[in-house]
Amino acid sequence: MEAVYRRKAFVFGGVFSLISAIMAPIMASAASSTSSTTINATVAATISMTSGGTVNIALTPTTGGVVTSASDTVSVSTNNTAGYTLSVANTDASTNLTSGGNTIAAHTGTQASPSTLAVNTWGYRVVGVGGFTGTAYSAETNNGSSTSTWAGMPAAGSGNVLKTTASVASADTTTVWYAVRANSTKAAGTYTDSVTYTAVTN
Amino acid sequence: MIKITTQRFYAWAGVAGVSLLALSPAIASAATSTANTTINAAIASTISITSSGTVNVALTPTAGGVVSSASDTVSVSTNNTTGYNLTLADGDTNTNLASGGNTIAAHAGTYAAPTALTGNGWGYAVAGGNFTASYTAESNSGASTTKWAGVPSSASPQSLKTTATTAAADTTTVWYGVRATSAQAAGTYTDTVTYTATTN
Repeated sequence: MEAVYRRKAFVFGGVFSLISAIMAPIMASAASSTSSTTINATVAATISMTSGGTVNIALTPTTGGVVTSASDTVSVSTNNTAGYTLSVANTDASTNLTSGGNTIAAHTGTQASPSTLAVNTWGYRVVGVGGFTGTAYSAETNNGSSTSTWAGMPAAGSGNVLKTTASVASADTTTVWYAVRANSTKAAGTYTDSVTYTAVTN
Repeated sequence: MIKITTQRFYAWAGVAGVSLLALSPAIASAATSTANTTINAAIASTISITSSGTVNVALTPTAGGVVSSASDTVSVSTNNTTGYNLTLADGDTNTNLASGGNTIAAHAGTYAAPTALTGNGWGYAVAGGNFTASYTAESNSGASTTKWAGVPSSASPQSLKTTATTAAADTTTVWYGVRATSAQAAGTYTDTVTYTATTN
């Protein structure tokens, strides 16, 4: 009896092997191959800036002199993750406000060491920058006893840094104040000059 | 004398007859037997694939956004007589382009319904079908109208091509487009895609 079972097992084994051999090509798994590609998208650093375009300052001078001020708002946007540097300078080498042949000279105070405006001079200030102390400033109008401190606008090519940031910026604003001190010896007229702000990615 | 000779003749004839009878099996015609053997040579299906390895896309964004694109060339060879199927998927389950902690998300368009890139996003395209009929490289295009699909996760590859015959360096051009506005932080954003070619 046991011999019969062994014989049957042998026969079944043989048949199974034969079927397997015949079916092998049909049951083979599909071949497969892979390849990888790295996608690199380089987004360049960009920066844009706006300013008020015009700052108007009106004075009615006195013998002792008065100070009037107004502000400009500089807005910078950049996608640069290391931020930007903002500087200001006169647009050219002449730092005077001019009205025909008449002038108002730039103040002698500096950003590092600002001072109250001398008679018939003009200057700028940015709260909290350099030697400009305090946390706030508001416009003055024909102020005969002004104590605010100012710096003379540097000539083109010698700009002063107003701000340095360290991250991306979206319409990041800086308020730059301008003031003039005039006494009644200053000829009436509209005195003009142009300043240039420059924002550079770090 | 003659009588003796006749007797000898009969004797020799008898011997010859016996001898012929004894030798008869030896001179019968040859028997033949044949056996056949089948030779089976099983040539397995093989397949190989290459791609460019790196696709670089450069953008100088604007507030309104710009699109730049570049292509990858995928080449497949197979001896499989029923062809191959080519799929595309992200290298992992994160489909963002990444630069440190900043990302550009995969576009929402799909292979079945590709759309123009919007905002900050990236996608792929294979000319024809539901995609744009043909593509050329775009460089900071502010008015791009080409259609794109987001690269699917590694968990759900997208079939790009199915063939039905053997292939020798059969190429497929896959385009990659990125759209960025100036709100997107500068940097080099990276991700990896995987092409898989499988015999049918």
